[in-house]
Amino acid sequence: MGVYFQVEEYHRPQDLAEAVDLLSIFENSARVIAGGTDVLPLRPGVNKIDIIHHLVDISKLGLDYLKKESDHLRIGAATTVNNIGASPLFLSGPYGAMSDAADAHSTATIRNRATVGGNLCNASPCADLALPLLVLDAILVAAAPRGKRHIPIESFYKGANYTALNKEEVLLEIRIPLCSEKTGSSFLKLRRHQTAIDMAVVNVATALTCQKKHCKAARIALGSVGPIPFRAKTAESVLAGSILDEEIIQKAAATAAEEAKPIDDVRATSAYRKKMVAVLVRRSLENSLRRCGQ
Amino acid sequence: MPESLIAVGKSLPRIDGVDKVTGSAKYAADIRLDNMLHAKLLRSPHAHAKVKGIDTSAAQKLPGVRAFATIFEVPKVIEYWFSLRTEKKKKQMFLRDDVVRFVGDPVLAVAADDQQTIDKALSLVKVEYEPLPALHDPIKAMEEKDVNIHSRGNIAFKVNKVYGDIHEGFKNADIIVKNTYRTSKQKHAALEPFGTCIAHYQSNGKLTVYSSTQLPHWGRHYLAGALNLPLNRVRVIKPHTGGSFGGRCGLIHGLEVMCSWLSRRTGRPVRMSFSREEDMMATETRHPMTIKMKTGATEAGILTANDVEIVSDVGAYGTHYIGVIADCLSTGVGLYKIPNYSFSATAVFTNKSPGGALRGYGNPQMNFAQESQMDMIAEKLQIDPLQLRLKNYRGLGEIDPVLNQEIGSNGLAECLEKGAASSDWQKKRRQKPIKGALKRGIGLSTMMHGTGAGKALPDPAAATVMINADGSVNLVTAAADEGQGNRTVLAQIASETLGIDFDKISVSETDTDTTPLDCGTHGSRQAYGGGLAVRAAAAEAREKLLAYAEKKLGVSEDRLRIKDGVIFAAKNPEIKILISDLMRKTQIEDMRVCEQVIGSASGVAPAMPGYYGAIFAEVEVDTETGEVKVLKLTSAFDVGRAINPDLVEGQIIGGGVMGVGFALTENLLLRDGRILNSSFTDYRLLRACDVPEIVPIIVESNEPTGPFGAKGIGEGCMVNVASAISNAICHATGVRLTDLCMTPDSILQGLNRCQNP
Amino acid sequence: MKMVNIKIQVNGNWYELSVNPGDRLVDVLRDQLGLTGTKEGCGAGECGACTVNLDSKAVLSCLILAAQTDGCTILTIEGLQRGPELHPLQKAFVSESALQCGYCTPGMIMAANALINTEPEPNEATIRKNIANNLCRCTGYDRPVKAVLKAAKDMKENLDA
Repeated sequence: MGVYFQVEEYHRPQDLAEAVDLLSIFENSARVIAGGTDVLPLRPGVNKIDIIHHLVDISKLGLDYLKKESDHLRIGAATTVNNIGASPLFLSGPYGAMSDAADAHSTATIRNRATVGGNLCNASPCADLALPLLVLDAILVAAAPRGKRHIPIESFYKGANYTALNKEEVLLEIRIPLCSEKTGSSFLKLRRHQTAIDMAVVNVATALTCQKKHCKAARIALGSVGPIPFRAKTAESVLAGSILDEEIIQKAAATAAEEAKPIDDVRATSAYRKKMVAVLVRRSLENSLRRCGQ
Repeated sequence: MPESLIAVGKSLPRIDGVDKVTGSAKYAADIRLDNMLHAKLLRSPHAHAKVKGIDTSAAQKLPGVRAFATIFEVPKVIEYWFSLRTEKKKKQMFLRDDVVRFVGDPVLAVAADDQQTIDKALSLVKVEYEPLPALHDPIKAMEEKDVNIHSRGNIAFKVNKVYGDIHEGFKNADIIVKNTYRTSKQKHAALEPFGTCIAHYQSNGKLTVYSSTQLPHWGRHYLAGALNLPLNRVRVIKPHTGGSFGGRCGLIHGLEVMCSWLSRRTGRPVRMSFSREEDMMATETRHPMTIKMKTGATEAGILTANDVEIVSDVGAYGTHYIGVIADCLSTGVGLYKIPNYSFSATAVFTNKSPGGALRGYGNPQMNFAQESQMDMIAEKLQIDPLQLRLKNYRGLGEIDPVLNQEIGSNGLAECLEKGAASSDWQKKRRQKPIKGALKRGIGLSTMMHGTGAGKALPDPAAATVMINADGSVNLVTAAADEGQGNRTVLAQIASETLGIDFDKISVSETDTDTTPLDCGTHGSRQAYGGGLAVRAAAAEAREKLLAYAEKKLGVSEDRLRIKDGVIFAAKNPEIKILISDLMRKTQIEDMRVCEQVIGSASGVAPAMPGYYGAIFAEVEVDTETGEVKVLKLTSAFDVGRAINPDLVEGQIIGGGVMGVGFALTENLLLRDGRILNSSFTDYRLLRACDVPEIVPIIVESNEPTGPFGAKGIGEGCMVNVASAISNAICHATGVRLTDLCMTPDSILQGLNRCQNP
Repeated sequence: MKMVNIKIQVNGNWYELSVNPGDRLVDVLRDQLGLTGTKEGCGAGECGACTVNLDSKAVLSCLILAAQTDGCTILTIEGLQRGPELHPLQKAFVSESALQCGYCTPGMIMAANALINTEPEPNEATIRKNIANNLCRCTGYDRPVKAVLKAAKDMKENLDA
């Protein structure tokens, strides 16, 4: 096929310190690789990039783990998406959005290699795993030459394919604060014709904390309808403190659609996307409500 | 059949199955020759431009760069084999000029030692373009007088055919349905990209080309013409192929000819292999069409008139644009006996990637329009859509006015009957809609497709059967197997005709040096046309075999039978001889004879029989998102005779899935002539978890001209899927869509129109 | 470009290779080791024709750098058959008429192989999910799924026997 991938030098650091060092030394001409599923499709001429000079492999630095601690869930950045999807940690109501997103990410084959860190740092406006983290108030931990840095997920995205990480930083782990049992979360992804691999046309995540049907806290995150994944805060405020009936859920969904700023592209029109935000938010809120108290 | 069959009608395992599952089957990209160079094309970034100059001086200095070939010297193949019929038309097949006509049109080719050197070289080549105005809309291009995509203008072909009196026809109609339909630019998207070629021009002046063409012999003719070589110095070998679906129906634009030119220039084998992106944006696609159709019927549901106006978007270059339109005519007119039919079609050049042959040719487009019209008529008249088809289809014994042949076999009624029963049509059609966002519906459509192209194009078929000294058989045929398994089917036909077991038959490689002239694989023709040639060759071999046996056994030929490797007298089975004994004697032992039994046949099939099908599609529409889930396709097809039922079912199921894609998900999107979705990310194919349940039903109407009654299946199985789905969507939601592909957005808009008329 | 030395086990044999840093696993398998059974259909991880087993997991060999596979165990279609008989998956694909052009077949079989090794009795839905990355343009997936079901059943019976 005449296809090939171009890189000048491949580095396999022995530990995290060495990895961070390499990124510092090579600055703008180095990038990190873990699973490689977002990096290898980048080919000169096809994706209009130049040769990648330095690749720093962080896949075998012990960054793949899933732990539950006293007040946090901790996910190593190099944990594969399949491992997230299969983990019992996320199957229960509060964190259900995580396993929904992991299952919807792509195919089983890709998810054997794709990592949560890769999905987050690639920073596509459609990033699936960013949305559950947004509604679960996650904190990202990055390693730099000077030490570690905690970045709340809401501050992580700066623009399309552009994060708050500096060139010499490596994403280490994601921390999800433990939720009360009265929380339910859900993630939904609309694809073209629901075929197995696709970037989202629209994707959303919601989380509700409720006492019976009285809403104590609401989170709604929207993807693929703006340059970065974001929280629809006006829609959230419609729900907070209210009784969650059909009417208020519809209203929140409609409000979320107004907050969306989609564009026309090869996958869908912006008008269609706006309509779908309302449909998906409504359906996701219904799911989250069902998962409260499970 | 009085006696039990040994091969025909049996789902025998395909002959290349083991090679393929072990990874030992070699496809074009797996072939390595010594001293091989790599090659790549520099492609135009402009939709329409004059190439004023090409400067390769800097690139030539790079170590490892071996040769260039430009469009100033290398001709493009722009017509198909119909033009080989006369010397004058043959010259018109090859175009050599300085114009590029679509984004991706090759400008030059470079041969170098490795891929990295090639890309460096191409980046150093300087091409001076003079951009010309580009035409993207075929309807505008038709009228355009100042911008000519080709020297003869923008109209590639125009035809007008009238049967009966169209005005009378509409006068007699009680209702008239009129619509405009638009179909998409579908891509073959075979798993093996189009294409990979290795060309080797040897010092003795012979060119050998490895290429997965569907038509090796016509490919040989095209190459001979382009490089000015006699036919006997051009050899085309087709390795295993990873699917074609019509896209390799000739040569690939810019591939084999450029590759051969570079090999001749360097004296070394040259390999060019297109990437998936090149396949998507620069090789042939389906012809998108705008079809205006006005159909009239009486209150009783008898069709009286059909007025069809087609504009077919040829893209920058043709090859198949005439055949595709001819197919619209013959399948549209052939299916129903509408006494008054006006068919006018214009094939128009545009500055887009070329149109070509894609499974179904012009029929899927035509069928979408015509079968949608049928359902609208049924609705207006409040007649069961199934009854409407039964009232109007052209049946057994009638004369097809386009092909001028009597219909010798027609299983359409049986297809409808069996399909309706299996899918529970009546009950589901009457089902009341359920509450909620999800709406279900069922729709049907029928189709007819021609087997082969005997009435329209040169369609030779040939085969040689050689019986070896041990009683095993070599079958020599140029049948190009693209995956459908036609070489297996041909071996079954040979086996049945000879009376020699299937596992004793070996099929030759597809190599023009050793196989006689055969059109190749297209138009659903190999089981039928190829099968007839194989049957004739095997019959001749059988006759010769029995003539020897007669001499040996003293029993006349017509009293001899062949079974299980033994030739014996029907009345006295103890009078017998092993085939292997007989053949060893006549080929080797008896030094005065030393003759191998060889049977050969070469010619064209006597007819172009139509094969028929009915599909019942069940869908579920999410009225909040517009998504359509196809739940089930019940697909009944009349194939005349299923030589290998498993392979026939394989076509019905695979064609069904491709049809769902054509209906719902597949379309090459362009902006200013540039294809936006040239990868699987955005050109959507169905995957294992997306496909509906498909129930294949084989109907056998026994085509009298076919080998053991067989006709075709390969294309028809996808022709009427889109129309069935569209009819089902209409049943589920009341939304009638006239544009392909039917996207969720278009369904939502349709629902909106229904609710706010 | 700085070459990388790797040691990989492919189909039971260890190889010490020197690879370009940008060489993908599919390049090394097909071009350096001559194992052309693994196909390339898109180069972007979308068609699945390049699927192999890496440390028993189904992976797309066009999306992995050879450099990343140092010390790993790789199984390709050529390594599936042990001894004179075809592997049950290979047998089933032939007997169930589950292949046509065959281009997607090696990748699909390797995806199925990885699945059956972790889940010996997968149901139809699980099989479809696990071969979702393997595009097939010919068969419509129906017979391949039946073939995997049959192979899994045959393999379990062999184990039980």
